[in-house]
Amino acid sequence: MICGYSVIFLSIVLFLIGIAIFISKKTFIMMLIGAEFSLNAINLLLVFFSKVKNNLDGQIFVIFSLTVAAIEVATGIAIAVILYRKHKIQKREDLKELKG
Amino acid sequence: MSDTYITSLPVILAALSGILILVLDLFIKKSEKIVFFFSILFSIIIPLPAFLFYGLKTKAFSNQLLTDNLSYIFLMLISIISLSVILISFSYNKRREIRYNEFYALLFLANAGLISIVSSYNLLVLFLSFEIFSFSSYILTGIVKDRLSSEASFKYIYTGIISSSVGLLGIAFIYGTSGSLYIDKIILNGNYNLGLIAGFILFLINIFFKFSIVPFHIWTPDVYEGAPTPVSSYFSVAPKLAIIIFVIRLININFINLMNFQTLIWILSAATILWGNLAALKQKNLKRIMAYSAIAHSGYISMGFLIPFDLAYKYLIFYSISYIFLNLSAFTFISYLTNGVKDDAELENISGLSQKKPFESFVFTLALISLAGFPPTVGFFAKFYLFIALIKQGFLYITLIAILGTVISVFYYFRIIMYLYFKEGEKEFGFDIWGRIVLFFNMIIILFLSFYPEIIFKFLRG
Repeated sequence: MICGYSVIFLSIVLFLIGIAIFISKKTFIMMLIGAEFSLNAINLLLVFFSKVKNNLDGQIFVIFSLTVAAIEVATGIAIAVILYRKHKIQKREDLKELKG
Repeated sequence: MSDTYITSLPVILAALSGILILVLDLFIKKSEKIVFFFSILFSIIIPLPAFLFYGLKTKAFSNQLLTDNLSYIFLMLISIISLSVILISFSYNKRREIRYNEFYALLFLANAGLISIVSSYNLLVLFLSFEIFSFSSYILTGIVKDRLSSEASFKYIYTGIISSSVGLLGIAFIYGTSGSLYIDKIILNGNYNLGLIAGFILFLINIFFKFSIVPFHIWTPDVYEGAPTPVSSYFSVAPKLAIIIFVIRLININFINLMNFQTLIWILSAATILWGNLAALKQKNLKRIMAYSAIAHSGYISMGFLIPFDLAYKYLIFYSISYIFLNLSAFTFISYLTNGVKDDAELENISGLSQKKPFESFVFTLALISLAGFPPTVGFFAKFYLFIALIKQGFLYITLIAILGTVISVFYYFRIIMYLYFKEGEKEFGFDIWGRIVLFFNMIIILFLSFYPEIIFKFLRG
């Protein structure tokens, strides 16, 4: 049996790495990869809790959360494609028309 | 009918009407008017379960969904909101060449998500309904595909993804410490350790993000400005109403007192009121001003989360009903301020519009005065009841901050009125019949509620 705290610690670290990728990278695709990374870290945590609590709800939750992650990528890439094709924007520094 | 059907009927109706509108375009050519007609028809059909089953309390799918009077009140209000959004978007979609069938279909799918948020009694269902609403709203924001709309949609999606993954982390912690995803069981089983409290705070961040409470409000002005105006009017009322009703459910099981969250909510709502009102002062764009006013109003509403259930039930719903009609009429006026290619909602453009459009300007002014909370209007009664309830519960300082915020808000609401009535300008904007109808009905409801505010309390009691 693995020590419980180590798994929780691992997934929180993975989550924070995902958030760090999201914040530090400038291109849209890398930002999406960071967001996906943190979502999968949470999935790991959910599966672990499901095993500890002897309750299947957590594992079912993971299936739904994977679906949601897929939709996130689809919408995120769609808007990135629109921004590139129509307005020639690739990086997030160029998005500064709305401010104030 | 069995409980399962009664409980899930509103969600099924909303989702089905969205899908039907989406496929209608395949069978009929030139379907713009037909789709418009069907959207109006569906938004009249969706609240029918509320009239049939009002007073019933049913559960379904092993207690994951429940409908009671709160859900039925929400169902009626969401249909009013979507009806008025549909009516004002008819000419807007033509002017800006929006794909109308996708627009209406996404609106109904967003409605389905919100209805399911209000009915959910399980964190999995809650998370999924939040996501259904979010993805529909991301696409609705970017549906025009011009520069501003795409940028707004991008900002909304990429902040929304992070906030929902933070909320998911919160759900994981709640599940890990209490061993259940059912809201009532979490409260019963929970030994209130660090994991559960951290989980609830992370989970609340997701809700606060959608509710635009201050540290998580940064997307709000940009999205309201970039999105098509009917969509901004939808965002400013519909998700807030759903979250208010969901939080009233949480207050009912005494969640905020058990978790000792009063201080957190106290500080956040004070910051929201002050920041929303102060930042609105220096805005030049009407949509941005209304966005900051919406942030300030979320602050007033989130103060109401501090009071106990029976008071919160009455006064928060009264506040949100008045806020819905005021905001809808203000945004209806703003949505006609376009020059065909893009939105033209700068403050100078409405100079002297009251001479050309007296009726529309009057309704807009009425809505603004009421949002500012001037005495004989419904906005005053809403704020008055809420503040009195807060003072009776012993929250004196937060009430004083809220009153200060109201005083600041008078300044920017009256600057808009000054531009309308006391400046000279030559810009002209055309209003179509549907916009006039929406404004007329909003005016009647605002005036009626101003003189008989008790009617809502009578309705809520009976």
